[in-house]
Amino acid sequence: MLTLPAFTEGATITDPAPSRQQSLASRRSFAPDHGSLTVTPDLRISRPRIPLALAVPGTLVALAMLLPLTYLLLRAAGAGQEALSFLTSPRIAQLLWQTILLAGAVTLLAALLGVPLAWLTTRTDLPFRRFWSVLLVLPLAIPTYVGAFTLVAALGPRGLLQQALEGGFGIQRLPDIYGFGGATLALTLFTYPYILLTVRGAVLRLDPGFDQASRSLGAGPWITFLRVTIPLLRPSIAAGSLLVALYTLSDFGAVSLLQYDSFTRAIYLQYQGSLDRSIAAVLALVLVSLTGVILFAEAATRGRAKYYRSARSIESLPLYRLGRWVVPAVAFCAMTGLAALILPVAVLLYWFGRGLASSTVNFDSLWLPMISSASVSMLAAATALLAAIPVAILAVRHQGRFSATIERVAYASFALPGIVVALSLVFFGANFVPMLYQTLALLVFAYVVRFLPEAVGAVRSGLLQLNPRLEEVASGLGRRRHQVFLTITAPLIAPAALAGVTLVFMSAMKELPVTLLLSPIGFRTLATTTWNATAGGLYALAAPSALLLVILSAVFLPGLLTADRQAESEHVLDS
Amino acid sequence: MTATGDRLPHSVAPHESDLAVRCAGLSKRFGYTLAVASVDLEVKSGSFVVLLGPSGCGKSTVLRLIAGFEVPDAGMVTIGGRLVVGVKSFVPPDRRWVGMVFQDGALFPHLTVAGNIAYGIRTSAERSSRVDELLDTVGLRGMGNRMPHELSGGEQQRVALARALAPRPTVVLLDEPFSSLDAGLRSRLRTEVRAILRQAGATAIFVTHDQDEALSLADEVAVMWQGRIVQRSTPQELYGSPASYEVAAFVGDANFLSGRADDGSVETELGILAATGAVTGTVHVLVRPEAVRVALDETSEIAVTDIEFFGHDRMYGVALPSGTRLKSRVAGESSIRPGDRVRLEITGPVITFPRASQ
Ligand SMILES: Nc1ncnc2c1ncn2[C@@H]1O[C@H](COP(=O)(O)OP(=O)(O)OP(=O)(O)O)[C@@H](O)[C@H]1O
Ligand SMILES: [Mg+2]
Repeated sequence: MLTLPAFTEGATITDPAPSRQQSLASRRSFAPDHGSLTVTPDLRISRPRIPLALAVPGTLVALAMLLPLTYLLLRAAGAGQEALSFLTSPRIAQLLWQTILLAGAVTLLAALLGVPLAWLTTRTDLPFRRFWSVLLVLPLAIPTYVGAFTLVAALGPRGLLQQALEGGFGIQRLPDIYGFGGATLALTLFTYPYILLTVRGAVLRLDPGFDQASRSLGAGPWITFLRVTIPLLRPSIAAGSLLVALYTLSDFGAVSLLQYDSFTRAIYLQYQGSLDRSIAAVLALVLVSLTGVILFAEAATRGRAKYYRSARSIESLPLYRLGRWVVPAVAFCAMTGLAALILPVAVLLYWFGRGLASSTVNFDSLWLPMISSASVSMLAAATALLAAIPVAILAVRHQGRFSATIERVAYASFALPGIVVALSLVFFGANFVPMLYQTLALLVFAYVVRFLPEAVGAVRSGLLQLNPRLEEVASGLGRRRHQVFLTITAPLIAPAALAGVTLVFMSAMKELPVTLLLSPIGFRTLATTTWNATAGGLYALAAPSALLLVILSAVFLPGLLTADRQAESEHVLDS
Repeated sequence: MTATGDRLPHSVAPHESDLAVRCAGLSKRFGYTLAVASVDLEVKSGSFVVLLGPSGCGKSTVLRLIAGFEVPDAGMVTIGGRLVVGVKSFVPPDRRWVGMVFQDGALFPHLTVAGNIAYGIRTSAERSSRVDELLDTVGLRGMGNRMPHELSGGEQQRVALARALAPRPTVVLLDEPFSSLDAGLRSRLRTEVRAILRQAGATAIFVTHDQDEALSLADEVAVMWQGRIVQRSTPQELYGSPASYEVAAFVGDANFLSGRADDGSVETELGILAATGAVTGTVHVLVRPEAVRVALDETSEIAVTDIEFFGHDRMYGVALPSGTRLKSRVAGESSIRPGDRVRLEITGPVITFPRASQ
């Protein structure tokens, strides 16, 4: 509990960290003549503890999140000598290098696309801004394995381009789409919207005061952008990049289809090809350590600054004029849209058309997977939101060791690639809860484990934007904690929470490895249908469900933008 | 945790106890910063106490300790005679019946003006009549359906005040509520708010670093300095006999000379002056600008350096031969120009403070 070493003896407290008030603060002391200050150990003020209504669910969520990792450790610990010596083999080093290389390249390229696009579509007079801001987020609706499939089906051997060139020019070989180049391309094109969205959200919530203050101090627009805006956006750029890096590390579909030898693919091959699953567990553990290192680095560099808009700044953000930069800017947006959205969809449509022509496509067989996918994803999204709320509130409003641990655990599960979660829960289900094994409950649980960080991140950022004084005023007015939450906090973070729910929903729709390994027998989702057909080389058969997946995701995508639009419409109202 | 807070605010009627708020030995540390150091503060029911002090001296922290948003490291607080924090007890903020008004208003952005004011009113029967009454009180009749962002800064602060008064709290805590408003609006609003609070019979603790605000509003001023309360008195006393050199420097315009004091008089470069206080030795001598009279004198070595004109009076800056600069406040017309030579005359006794040996 509370001990007051410096208070009891009337000792002088000196400030080791000089601050702006150093001259004042460093001489502050409790003079011994203030007798009332001598605090004896039993005269302690009882500190209000973290409310149980938060601590209990928070702890439960953390424990649930720890489940897959715990199994992984158990399996790895039970691994034989062979598995251990495997740990130091050149194979591991090679996999590490290739995985890091891919993640680094994809993150860098995605940031180079996402940050400028976020800026262009919010703060400049780019022509057709609304159009671009919708179009450029849509690639998020294309799962990376579908994107990889379109790359293969377009540029690969026996792909569209090859066929065309062979027919016309007799060209036999194209640059190889398989391997590093193809994997980097596919992952970049379909993950950059994560950065675009997080940065755009932050741009829209920027207090125009910061910007105007800098401009009024004589800094030009570029200086303001570099010195004020970018630093203010740094947390959102970091958050978006983290999403992309972790997505790449745990991506299974694209690297498998494009045959790039990274950890997830190696784990899957190991799991399928051998009876000794501990080697897969060892591989998985190395991958988890890798993602853990990245998370740690991000946490260490994350600023302690808290920015929330003061309620009183009511001006709307001024737009920057692009001037003669308008042509390159539009070209940049158009090229990105073409490569990440138009071409992939065109390829899907082409194969869909071919399927129709040869009547391989059966519409009836699409309905059931669609309903299955949507309903299980919705369940997962709702559950993830419920689990995220206590974690986010603890992290933002009850800072301390306990909350930090719970938040860390909730985020750490993001470091668990889908294939790892799937492996763990297959084992856990089969061995400990046969009742749940191969049920939807376990599948939903796995989705929540995988995508909780997305929900926590959204709710957390909503809370960070919320002026804590509002909640203080409300409780000062006599409302209990839960009433304050329901009447003040919840409505004000609703847009952010909705964005989180949508993110989880879409992630679950597109999820592949967990769905492959944990779906109840006979439970076919759009993802597994697509995968099975693609893996069999049946492009025409894969196209319809892939297309449906893309369309369905795209329909729900506007939900993601709600938070943005809300912020924007407030500006409209204000101005 | 003692849960004694279920009583309604009216049951802790202000006259039941003489004191609306009492803090004793209140202390709070943030890391190595001692934000609040053993603060004792008594606020009588119905009075208006201003907590005045420079930025970072711990004023906001004192309010937050009273309201229950921070937990002290030592000390106790009673509100309306009820112990809300102290040894082994902590009453959460929602059971303290304390109204808060913050600098930025902190209005609930998703609720209308009426919704904001009604938020703290528990009985639904009373709600609409009380909201109308409060809208009248703060001069915003008919604006109940506006959203907060449709109000000006001053209007927002009035709504914040009405919202704080709605549940009839034992005490209203105002943390620099006008500091983000422009000067004209600020002085108008503070008089108004003072009247509203008086009319409502409310007890208020008002935090500011603006001495004019403090002197013009307060029944009683508590001056904070480095986490402590260094003086508590009426505004007149505070101005006339500040408790320390720091307080004197902070409150009002002040001239300081150094001098040697001896038994009711002090020797300065202006000659021997009558002094209050029984201090002897090396001292700071406080001379208020209005105690310095200037008169044209060609033979003097004292020059006028600048003149600030305030309408009702003017402030001369003069330089002594030693280089020391003084200010003199003079009412009415005068033909003195910068560069003119003047003679100084000090009216009334000056105040001395012991000078810490350096
Ligand atoms: N939550 C906190 N964490 C760490 N330090 C804090 C915290 N709140 C206040 N402090 C420190 O405590 C001291 C007193 O702060 P406080 O906000 O009470 O000052 P103040 O008198 O209200 O100043 P101002 O007039 O600028 O509002 C300051 O040095 C401040 O840096
Ligand atoms: Mg303050």
